[in-house]
Amino acid sequence: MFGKIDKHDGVPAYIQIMNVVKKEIMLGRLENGDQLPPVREMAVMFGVNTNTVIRSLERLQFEGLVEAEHGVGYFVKTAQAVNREVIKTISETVEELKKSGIDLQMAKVLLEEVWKND
Amino acid sequence: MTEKIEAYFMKELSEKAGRIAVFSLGLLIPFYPARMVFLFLLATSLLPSDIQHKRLGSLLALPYSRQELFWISYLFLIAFGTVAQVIGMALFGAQFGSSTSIYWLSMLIGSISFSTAYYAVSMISVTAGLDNFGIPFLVLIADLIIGGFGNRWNNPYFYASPAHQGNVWVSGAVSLAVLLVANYLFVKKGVQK
Amino acid sequence: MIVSIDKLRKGFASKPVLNDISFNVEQGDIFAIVGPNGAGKTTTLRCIFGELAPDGGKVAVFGERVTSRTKEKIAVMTEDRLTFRRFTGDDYLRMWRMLYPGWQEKVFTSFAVHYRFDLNERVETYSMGMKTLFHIALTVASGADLLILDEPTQNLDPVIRQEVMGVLRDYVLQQNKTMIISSHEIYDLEEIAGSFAVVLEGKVLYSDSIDGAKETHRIIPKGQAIPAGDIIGVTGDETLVRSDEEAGRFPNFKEIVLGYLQSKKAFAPFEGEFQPKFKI
Repeated sequence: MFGKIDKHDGVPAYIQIMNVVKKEIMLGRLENGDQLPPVREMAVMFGVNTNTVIRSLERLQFEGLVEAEHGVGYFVKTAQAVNREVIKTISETVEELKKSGIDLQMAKVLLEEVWKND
Repeated sequence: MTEKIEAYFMKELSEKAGRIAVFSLGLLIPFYPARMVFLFLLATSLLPSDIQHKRLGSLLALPYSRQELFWISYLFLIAFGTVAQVIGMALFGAQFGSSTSIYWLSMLIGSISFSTAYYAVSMISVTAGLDNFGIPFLVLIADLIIGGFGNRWNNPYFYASPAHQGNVWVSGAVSLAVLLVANYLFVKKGVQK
Repeated sequence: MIVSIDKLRKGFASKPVLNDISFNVEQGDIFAIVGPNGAGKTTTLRCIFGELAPDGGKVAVFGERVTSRTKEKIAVMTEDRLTFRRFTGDDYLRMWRMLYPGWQEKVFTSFAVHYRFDLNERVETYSMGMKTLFHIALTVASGADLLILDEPTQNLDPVIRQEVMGVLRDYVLQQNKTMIISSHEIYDLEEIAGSFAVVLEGKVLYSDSIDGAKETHRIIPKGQAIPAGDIIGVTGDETLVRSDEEAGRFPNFKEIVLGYLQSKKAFAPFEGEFQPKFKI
C-alpha cells in the first residue's frame, strides 16, 4: 500500500507521507476506523526514520484525519462525503483531457500553471 | 579482554608471520648478545612498526584503546621472548635446580628488561614522528658505547644501561621508567603525524 | 543523543583542519556529513571514534567520552578500508567475531552469498569495489549501535551503489541503529539520510534534519520577489532563501547543500566578531 517516498523531491518527507495517507483516505482505500500499520513498519515502508513518521501522524491527528489510541496505534477517523465529490470531479476532468489528447505530463504542467495563476 | 588479546595476537601472527618466525628462531640461541639483536628486531617490528607504516588508524577503528594497544603489543613481545627462551633453554640443555638455572633466570630477567627498554624507545621515537628502527638503533649503539667506556665498574652508566645491565635492579628500574614515559606520551600526546 | 559534537577543533602539525564543527546525531537517524574533498569530513569522523584527540571542543558518543568499552558499540569503515596485510576473508571474520560482542553471523553470510565473497582469498587481492562491499558487510554485521562509514559508495558501480544504500537504510531503520555517513555524492546521501551537516574548510555551514531544512528554505526563481529572510546563495538562475514565507518552492537536498557551499558564509573569517549593522 505504501511505497518509498521521493527523497529527491523538495517536498519534506513528512508532508509526502501525509499526502499518501490522505490520498488513501480520499480514494476510500482507508476507511473510518481502519488501523494504520505500526510506526516502525511505516518507517521501513516509506524509507524514513520513525521520527519522521511520528511527525506526519501528529500533523494528521492535528488535522483531524487520524486518531491515536494510546498503546495501540493510529486509526483513521474521517467522514468521506466531500472527498468522494473531489474524486468524481477529477475523474470527469481526466476523461475530458484524454479526449483532447493531453497526456499525464502535460496535464500536470497545465494544472500547476492554472493553480499558480488562480 | 582475552578476545581482544587473542585477536591482536592473531593479527600480528598473520601480518608478520615471516619476520616473527625468523626472530623466534634467533631467540632460541642461548647467548645474550644474539638474543639482544633478535629482541631488538622483534620489539621494533610490533606496534612501533604499525605506527611507522600508518596502520595505527586501522587498529584504533576497532574496539581498542591506545592504552590497550600499547600493553597488548608489549605483552606479545614479552610472551614471545620468554617462550622462545624457555624452549631454547630446553633445547640447549638447561639443568633446572642446578647452579646454572640461576644463570638462565638472570638471562631471562635481563632479556625482559632489555626488550622493555627498546620497545619503549621505539614507541617514543614513532610517537615523536620519527622512525621505529633507525633512531632506536642509534640509541642502542650509544647505549653500548657509553656503557662500555673505560673501566666499566667505575662507569656509573654501566649499571643503569639497558644493554649492559651492570646492576639488574638499577637497569630494570630504568627500563620500567622509560616504558612508563613511552606509555604516557603515546596515550596522552598521541602520534604527531 | 548518540553523538554530540561541540566546537570541535583539530589541526596537524600547525596546519588547522577542523575549525568549528558542531552537530548532534539522534538515535535511529542516518546522519550525512556532506562537503567537497578536503573539507574535514574524514578528520571529523576520526575524532568521533577516538583515533584522533581533539585540540579543542567536545566530542561525546553515547553521552560520554569514547573508551574501549563504548568502542564495542561503534563499527567503523575507514576511507582506506582498514586492510590488514595477508588477511583472508575468514581471518577478518574471526577477528570481528572476537572483537564485537553483538556480531551477527547471519547478516554477514547474506552479504557473502549475495556478493560472492571468496573467504579463502586474501582481501588485499579483491577488486576495490569488492573490498568496499566486504567492509560494508563487516561493519553492518558487527551488530554495533553506531555505524560510521567514510565514503561508502566510492568504487561501487551505480546499480550496486543504489542497492547497498537501500540495504543500509533498511538495516538502520529496522534495527533502530544509528549511522553517520560521509560522502561528496549528494545524490546517494539524499537517498538515505535523515539529517545532515554541510562542511567546508573545517566548519559546519549548516546542520539540520532534511525535512527541517526543506521547510525553512525556499527556492526563488529569477525575476520573482525575494521574501523576507536570509539570502543563502545562488544556484544557477535561482536563489536559495531561508524564510518561512510561502514563496517560490521547496528546495531539494542538493539545492540546499550547493546553496550553502556557494554562500557568503562559506568564507567569513570575521563571523561572530564582526556584525554589520545594516543588511544589504
